[in-house]
Amino acid sequence: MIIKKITLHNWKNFQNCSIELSERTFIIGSNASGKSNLLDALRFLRDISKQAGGLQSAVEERGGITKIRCLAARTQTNVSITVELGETQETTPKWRYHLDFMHTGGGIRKSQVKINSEEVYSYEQAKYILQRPIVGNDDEETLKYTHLEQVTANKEFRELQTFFQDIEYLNVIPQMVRESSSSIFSATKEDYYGRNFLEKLAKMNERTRNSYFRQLNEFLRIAVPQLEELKFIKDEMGIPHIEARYIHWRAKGSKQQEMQFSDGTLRLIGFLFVLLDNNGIILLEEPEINLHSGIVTQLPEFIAKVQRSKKNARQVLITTHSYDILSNRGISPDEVILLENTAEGTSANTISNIEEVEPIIRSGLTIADAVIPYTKPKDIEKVIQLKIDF
Amino acid sequence: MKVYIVGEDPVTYAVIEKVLAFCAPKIEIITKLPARGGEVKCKISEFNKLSESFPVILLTDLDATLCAPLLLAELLKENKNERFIFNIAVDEAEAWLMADREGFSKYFNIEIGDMPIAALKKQGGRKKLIEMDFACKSSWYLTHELVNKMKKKEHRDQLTPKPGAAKGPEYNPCMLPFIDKYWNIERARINSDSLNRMILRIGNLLNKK
Repeated sequence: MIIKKITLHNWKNFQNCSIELSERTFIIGSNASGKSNLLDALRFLRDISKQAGGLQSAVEERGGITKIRCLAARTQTNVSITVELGETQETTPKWRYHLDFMHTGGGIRKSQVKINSEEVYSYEQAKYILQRPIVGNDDEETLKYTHLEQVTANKEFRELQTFFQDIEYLNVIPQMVRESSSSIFSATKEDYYGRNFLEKLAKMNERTRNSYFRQLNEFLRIAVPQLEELKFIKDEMGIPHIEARYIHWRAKGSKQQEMQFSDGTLRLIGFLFVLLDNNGIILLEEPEINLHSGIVTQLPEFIAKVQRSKKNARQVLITTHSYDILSNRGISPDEVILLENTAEGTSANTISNIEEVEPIIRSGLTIADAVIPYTKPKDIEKVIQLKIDF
Repeated sequence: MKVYIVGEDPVTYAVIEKVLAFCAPKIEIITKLPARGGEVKCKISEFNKLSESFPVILLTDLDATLCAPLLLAELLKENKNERFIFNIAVDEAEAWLMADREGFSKYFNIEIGDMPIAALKKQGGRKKLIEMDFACKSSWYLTHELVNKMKKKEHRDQLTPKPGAAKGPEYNPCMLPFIDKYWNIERARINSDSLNRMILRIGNLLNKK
């Protein structure tokens, strides 16, 4: 199952926006156009659904509803997210989940949100499975919790909760992997994959882990030839590490652990791991960072290959600025969403629907040629003409 | 009218923009193509096709080819769309900049007598046309010869290439403000037939709409 469509109302920089998503979707746009905020709407659904999660903590982790609500919002104070889910090949979706919430109000009371409406629609049964508020059942207190987060209430649509729980966000911060035991503050620990990357490996079934490392090593042998025999180890204190042999002038090379790995190597390992391991939607934040353009060029096709090799096709959403990724001829303009800032919040369009971009691709130029100049700041050349006076 | 513009590098884009501001201030630039300059010549056929949707205004350098029509014939095998405005700077956009001898000498503090001059030259065709006269490529002349006659050290530092480099380390930050604010197209077109023809082509495009 994939998310086929997401509709956002007052979500961060999206005032009113409806976005069609495909199995592999590239999200592009200038800096601060809302690429990460779009991914965050999906992480928000995951945060509601996960164990020890829930609506209130998902809002709180983001700094309260005032940090979520769109700046372009005027009189309307509610925030809503609607997603349609279904199989890749089917045109009709299977489910629609809709959540609308706003501040509880009330001055000095703890800042919480209340649900205006929560709906689950099943296209198969052609009816609503859930429509809240339920008269006589919901009160001010119950409307602080979604049915999605409650196993006793979501029996008929448990599939949705599991689906959202499996959403994985990947933005490896190499420093976090290296200093996983340090006290660097990370509000969303499990997101900045890295902090708990090694712990995750430690918890994994050994056979699965070995199989993953075998595949990782095959990839690394080509991409980073000086690293060999990447493996998982625990030191005498029981602390997990990844270790590899670094080949140099000595016959046997020398052993290195994650502390010594380069930023690019760490990002590549994290990236490959999430592709191999995850069962749900994968959100990839600018996978090109720290990587050689020769490797980056291969990513779109590698992702497609991994997607095809799994039994259940998984959705991958990728934010990128990369020329190397977007010049891949196998990317369809239907797979690329362009975010643009407008006075009324960010707009999102599939590039095949943009009048001034579509002809560029139709004429035979690459998607990179069409969208990178289109999304760059109009006067960016002026930065080199600035008077610099320190 | 909305157009795409195609250039080789920041200087050619700036020249196109300035020429458009001069002769067609109402034209709106959709975007600058391609994403990476230097690929202009191998994508000519795509730009020709693109101009069926919106006009494409392209500026490239003459380089080693003998004359402009020969270069176009060499690059574009099919018929040129009439909204594909193909311009070739003889011999490079830098020659057009130096064609405003007065403005260039004033901005870069060069004696007017040290500036290159224009001459009637045959470009392979029958007719002699006026263009700036250089013994070598105009950008090479600018960064290796003329630069030594600039009185300000700042300009010399910006434009003189480091060993093995093609251009000075701050070539674009130095040239772009000149193009933007001081380059006088009226004066320059008198010394460059290829520039003058670009202006006429854009005028024709506007009349056709």
